[in-house]
Amino acid sequence: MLRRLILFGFIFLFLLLSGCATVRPWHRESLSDPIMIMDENPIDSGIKQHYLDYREGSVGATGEQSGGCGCG
Amino acid sequence: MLPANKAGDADVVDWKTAVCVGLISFILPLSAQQLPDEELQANFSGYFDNFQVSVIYPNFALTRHLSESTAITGRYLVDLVSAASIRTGNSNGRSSEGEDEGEGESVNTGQNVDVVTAASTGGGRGEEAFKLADDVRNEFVLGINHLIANGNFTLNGLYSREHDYSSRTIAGTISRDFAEKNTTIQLSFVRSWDKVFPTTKTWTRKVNVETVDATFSQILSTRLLTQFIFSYTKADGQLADVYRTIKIAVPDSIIQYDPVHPYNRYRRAVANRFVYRLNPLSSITLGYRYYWDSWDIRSHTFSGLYQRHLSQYATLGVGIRTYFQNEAFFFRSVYAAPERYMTADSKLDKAYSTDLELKLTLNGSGEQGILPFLDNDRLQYNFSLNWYRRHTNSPDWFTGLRNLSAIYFNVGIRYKL
Amino acid sequence: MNRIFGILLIFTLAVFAADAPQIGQAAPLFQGTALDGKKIELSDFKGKVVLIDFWASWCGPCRQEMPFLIELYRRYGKSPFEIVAVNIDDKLENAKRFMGQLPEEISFTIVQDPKQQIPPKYEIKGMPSSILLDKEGIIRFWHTGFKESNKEDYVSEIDGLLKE
Repeated sequence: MLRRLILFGFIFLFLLLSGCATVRPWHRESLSDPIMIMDENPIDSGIKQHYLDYREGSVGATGEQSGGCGCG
Repeated sequence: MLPANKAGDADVVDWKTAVCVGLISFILPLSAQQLPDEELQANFSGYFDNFQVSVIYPNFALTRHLSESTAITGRYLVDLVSAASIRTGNSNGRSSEGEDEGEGESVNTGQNVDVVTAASTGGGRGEEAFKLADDVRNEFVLGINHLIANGNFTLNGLYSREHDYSSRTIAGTISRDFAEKNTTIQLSFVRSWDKVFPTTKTWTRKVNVETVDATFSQILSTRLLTQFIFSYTKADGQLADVYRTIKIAVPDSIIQYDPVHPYNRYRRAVANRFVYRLNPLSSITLGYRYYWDSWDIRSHTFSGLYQRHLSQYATLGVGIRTYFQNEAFFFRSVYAAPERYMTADSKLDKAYSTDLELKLTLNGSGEQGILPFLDNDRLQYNFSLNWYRRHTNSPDWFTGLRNLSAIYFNVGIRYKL
Repeated sequence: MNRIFGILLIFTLAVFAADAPQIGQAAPLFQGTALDGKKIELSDFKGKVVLIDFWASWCGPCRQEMPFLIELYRRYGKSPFEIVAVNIDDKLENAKRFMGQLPEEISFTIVQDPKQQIPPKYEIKGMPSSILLDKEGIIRFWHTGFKESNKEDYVSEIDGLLKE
């Protein structure tokens, strides 16, 4: 089952990379805004997830910080 | 006939192969990533619920650059758990017939045990023991973040200790950008070596946890990002909390048993999130996660977060999260007779929950001239308040309640060095 | 299964091929408006060594680079050297706010490009991008991103171009 998931992941990745329009570095202003960053404060998110994990039976796949500003 | 533990050995992924395959993708030149900012972060968090559990959770983190390509992060946190709740006195649970977790010898230690939080007092006997259960967990994390030719590599070591549990964890992450930073792939691996030594038992047992995560982030347009996350966790060892007991009625008495969980647990989750820019001032984040494990728990998590800039200094966020899960295959609200696997953990019951969040971020600026504590470009304040409600199919074995209501908050400050 | 993995991996990697910078070619010409309202054309600077820098206030490394550019311009003040910093902020006020926070005033040329029309001519791969032109307007060096350790490279490259 997990192998199928990994396969699906690669297929998805390939389709995204080959099919989606590339946002050029000079068009990234909107994406650099903190409200566009998925986990702008990972420690804060981790604290909240700590409480939820304490009361629920599921873990995992809760996300990590991603970039998008095209800087560097 | 009880269902066998659905470990699915044939289906256990050779995750090492998966990681290596993923790592091969990283052998390409591309533009460098960035180190995290040098900063000091302090948070003060609290949790309070109607199951009479209170948690205070201060934590501190410091990140410094050792060089242009290396940063080091240190973190310290304290989990202070207290519960002004009914004491159960001494735990006299018997072990059940389970082979997986060995014997469950109980000891009359004279210590008071608060089984709601699984917190036990640090010492003292009888009435002189603390009126409030006192469980303190100290956690230390040290991490290094290094920019390598083609991406970013982090390695963290964690040590956590309370008087009946210890944990040593190593976590490694590698990430890199592709296609002019439109795509980011991150692979992470976590390995924990835990030890459980309950105060009411004479034994020490191990818990081993291994987790592999893969995250794919993709910029779809100037206003839309998406992220896919795949997670796989394998846990084995003493997975039941023996401070909880199962009561089985027999003629003329009630016998208490220690819970026995399967020795292994295989946990998987997939999630997708989108962030969409509604207008120059606001965005919305929507997410969905599907989880399943070898104990037959399936869950769905839906989340949404709306964020809006109130000014150039303040940002408001409003979020909602709903969660649904079914029960583990060995969960019973009442056990008529001892079974191979038994649990008193309401986390394994059929349940649904809702979480509402309100958060505010204040960014300091030398220009704002309104609030003195904001008069610094390097400062950021974060406030969040959450209201959480969970409903379980069966009453909680200790409180007798089906509905748990909780409030938790976080107040944080970040200072760029 | 392994074969499928391999094929997909190859396809995935194939998508990642990147274009090479155009060193040795004439820099694409452009025109724009400076902050003081003056009309600027790249060809105005022929005969000088030019550093074209693409930057924005929302870009962290760009903000780190700006004090260095100020220092560079001061260092080569008496030489035939010019910096043309192309700002691509959507709103000029954001760029001005950032410049106001700098310890020193910027005295080199800043070209406003709120519609981001100039970067596509150069196909820059990241922000900031710094391109050094010789006195004939030929692209000679290209830097994507900014690191403290690159400062010496800039100095030696400019010194070399000025000596030609």
